[in-house]
Amino acid sequence: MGNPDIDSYFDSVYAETIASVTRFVVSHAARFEDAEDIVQNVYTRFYKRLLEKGRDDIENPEAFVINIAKFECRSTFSGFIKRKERESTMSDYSEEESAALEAELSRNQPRLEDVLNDKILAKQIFDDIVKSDAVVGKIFYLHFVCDLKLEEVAAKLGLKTSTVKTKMYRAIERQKKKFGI
Amino acid sequence: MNKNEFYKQLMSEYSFDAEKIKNNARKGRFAGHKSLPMYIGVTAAAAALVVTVGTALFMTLNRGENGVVLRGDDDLMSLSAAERLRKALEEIERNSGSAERYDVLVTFTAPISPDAARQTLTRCSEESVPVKFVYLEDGTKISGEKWIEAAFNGESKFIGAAINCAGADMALLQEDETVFAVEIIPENELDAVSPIDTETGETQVALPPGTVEIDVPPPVSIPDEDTIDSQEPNDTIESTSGTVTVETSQTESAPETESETIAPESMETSETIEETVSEVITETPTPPVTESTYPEPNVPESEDIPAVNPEVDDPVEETGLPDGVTLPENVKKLSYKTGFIGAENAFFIKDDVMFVKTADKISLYRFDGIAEREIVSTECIDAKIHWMSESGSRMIVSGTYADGKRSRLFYVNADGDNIIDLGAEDVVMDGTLAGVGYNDSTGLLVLNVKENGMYYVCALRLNDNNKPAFVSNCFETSAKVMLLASEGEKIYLAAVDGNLTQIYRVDSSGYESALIKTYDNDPKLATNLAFTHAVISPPDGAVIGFVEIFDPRSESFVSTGSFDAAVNFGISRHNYSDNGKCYTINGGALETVSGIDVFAQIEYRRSLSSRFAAEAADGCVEITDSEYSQRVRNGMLTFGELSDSAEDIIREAVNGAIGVNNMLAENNSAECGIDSDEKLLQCVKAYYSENAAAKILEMKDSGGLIPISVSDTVLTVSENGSSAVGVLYVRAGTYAKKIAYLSYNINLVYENSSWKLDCVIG
Repeated sequence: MGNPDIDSYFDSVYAETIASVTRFVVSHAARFEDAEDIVQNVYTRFYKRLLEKGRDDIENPEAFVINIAKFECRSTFSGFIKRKERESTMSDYSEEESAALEAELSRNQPRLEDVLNDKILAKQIFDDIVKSDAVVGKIFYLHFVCDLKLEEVAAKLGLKTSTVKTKMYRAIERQKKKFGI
Repeated sequence: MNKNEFYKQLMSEYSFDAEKIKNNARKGRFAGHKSLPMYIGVTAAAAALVVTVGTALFMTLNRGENGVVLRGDDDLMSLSAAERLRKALEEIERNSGSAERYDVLVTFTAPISPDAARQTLTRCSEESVPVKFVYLEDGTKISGEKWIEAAFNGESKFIGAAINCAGADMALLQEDETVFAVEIIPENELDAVSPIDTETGETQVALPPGTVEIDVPPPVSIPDEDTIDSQEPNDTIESTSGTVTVETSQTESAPETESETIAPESMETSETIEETVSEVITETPTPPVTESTYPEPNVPESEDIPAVNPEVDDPVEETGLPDGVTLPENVKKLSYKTGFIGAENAFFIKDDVMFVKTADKISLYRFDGIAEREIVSTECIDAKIHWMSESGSRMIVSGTYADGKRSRLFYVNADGDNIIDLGAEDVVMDGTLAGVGYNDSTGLLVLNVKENGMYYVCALRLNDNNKPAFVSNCFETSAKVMLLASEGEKIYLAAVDGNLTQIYRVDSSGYESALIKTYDNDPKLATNLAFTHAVISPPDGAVIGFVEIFDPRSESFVSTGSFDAAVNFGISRHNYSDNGKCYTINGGALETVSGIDVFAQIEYRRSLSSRFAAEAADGCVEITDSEYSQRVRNGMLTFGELSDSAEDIIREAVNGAIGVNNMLAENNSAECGIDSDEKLLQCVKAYYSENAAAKILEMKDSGGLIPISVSDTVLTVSENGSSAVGVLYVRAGTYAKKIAYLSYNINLVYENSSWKLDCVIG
């Protein structure tokens, strides 16, 4: 189906924008679990729009797709909840504890490759991350996949850096006990 | 591999399936919408009523195709009440201190009121609590955010509720004396489970016969590749959440009934308000001022005014007009009618450009005094004006598509002779525009989008090329939203829920919001076209309260001191009229103002051209002279009813002088029967003194004479036998419902047995 020109254009835009769109959606969706559906809807809307109206008036496809993503994110009702979370404070990890955890993150652990190969276990670990807290999944995605510093993650999510660190470190410590990793 | 690499790979692999997303997009398929639970809690409490909603984990509904609930053999519902309670307590113990979130069923000890339920359920969190179902005393199970909201605003008692909370919070709930049990609900049982029957001590095995289940989403699921591929290419798999589904045969007609009885009252109330506002703000033309209401001053009708003819006018007989000369006592006024163009509404928005609205189109026409020419037009069904610049030449207009969905937005620019499609449908998408505001100072375009019972306030920015860029989705609520005003980056809006109206300040970035005032008497709301002020009026029939004007600059509510003030801003940013008086809002206070420019902004549909006025009639446009001419704007106006006080002999002399004036001003002496300079001079000297005659002939060449209709004049004069002084008032028009006159000082002298004008009018 479709128009070869449009398909080609869509593929090109998709390849160029999927990273920024997922980063944006993860940052703005109320829940990390909603992100994939939102991204799906963003690109479906974009593709349908291309079929209906063409692409002549789209000067900056990334901005255009991000604009759609903003619309889709709003249906996750992030407004009040985000503001509330922004106000919340959590106890900080001490600098020493943070340093120790950072060091542990960098330490080589051959068993981790086995864990990844165990699809069931890997999925359990992933689910544990994204379902434990509304924003932990976002923090993990933005930090580990998008390579954002924790300060940048905090800014994107409207949280204090200390809160982001605490949430991430707690999740890592919990997983260490729960899954032995 | 270290943990950084581990988590990177884990999150990359399991978060998004990029290939699947791309393929689904190219097949036109959307992800399934998740069921949307109602959120209640602190944030909602801060807003006094529930206005917050949120998403929750999608629950796979274990249903058959016919909507019948399917249950496993060893599910929660197969246990006795005692077993369920024991299991619940074990789970509470096991999850003490756990941050992991669960769907839990809270069974109340006895049926409790919605308010009491709200208090109990919000014990468990300082944040909002997502509520997925509530169970009413009569066995009704309610889902769907708007119905749950309605239930919380209703009077029916609750026997249970399904919420999502952290494991540690279950103990907090269990401690509440109104709570009988708190049970974790397995994902696949959420749909089938019901509260423990605390009276019989037995669990309810199934919903009671005849139970109405409201707005349970249809059997949709997260679209994995397989299910998506089984759909037709253009099918979407969006849920129909928001509709009412009925599961028992005896309630087949229930959807409408339920909808009417359970839907929040606020929806109907707000709808009424919105219509009112729309009418007040954008569509109400300035009411025509009838002559019976505002009587003409006591001036002679044109046919009663003596003809300016020396043969019948004794005072000028001696000096005499030449034979066959007839002076034009009245000026020919413009009266032009276009052909049928389907016009429903028309008015000039600059000197020679008029805006015309038809049933399915908006257009700009240029009129040169002789004929009209369409400059630009665009399809726009049921156009509605939302904003106009103070100059009037720029406006923002919304329209609908053929399906009635209001999602089109146009920037009409008479300065550039163009109409720009702002592409609002890319923001409105599946919703509909419930309101639009524009802050001309900052370029902030604010859209109030209604979709699936929710209102979303979206901030966009118009750049120099009038192309919008999305800024944020800065506010959302299930309560009816009305945009009120904007100042800088601040947006003011009202959330209307039943009788409760709350005024919020929201930052365009969406990061800050504050409740600044609450009304509990269902006030009427309106905003001005400039989006700079809002008017809050007491409801019809109210015995207390004044009309207030919200001033965002001082963030104050300025009382007009009147309970029925008819506030009309027109396109003015800060001036308004109220029963013929004009005021300006300055620093949170009212000051009286006057001046034709103030009236012009308020009566924008008559005033934006100094040359022409337009009015739609029978699909055509009738074009007449503008009452807001430059002459009026630059002249001295006298308001009120005036009557002639001159003796007939002086009035006739002045009429003759006006006739000469008109002949010279319009340079039509030949048409008046004058074929030589001698005749012209004789004619002038018949009504003007020597000095004045020389002057008016000089002004004829310089073009400084003003044509005047005798029928529009009122003359007040006092005389002493040889000379007279007075004022000639020339009716200019009706402004802010008051008749106004331009005034000209005049002098007359008595020469050769007749009165002659000793000055030039104007």
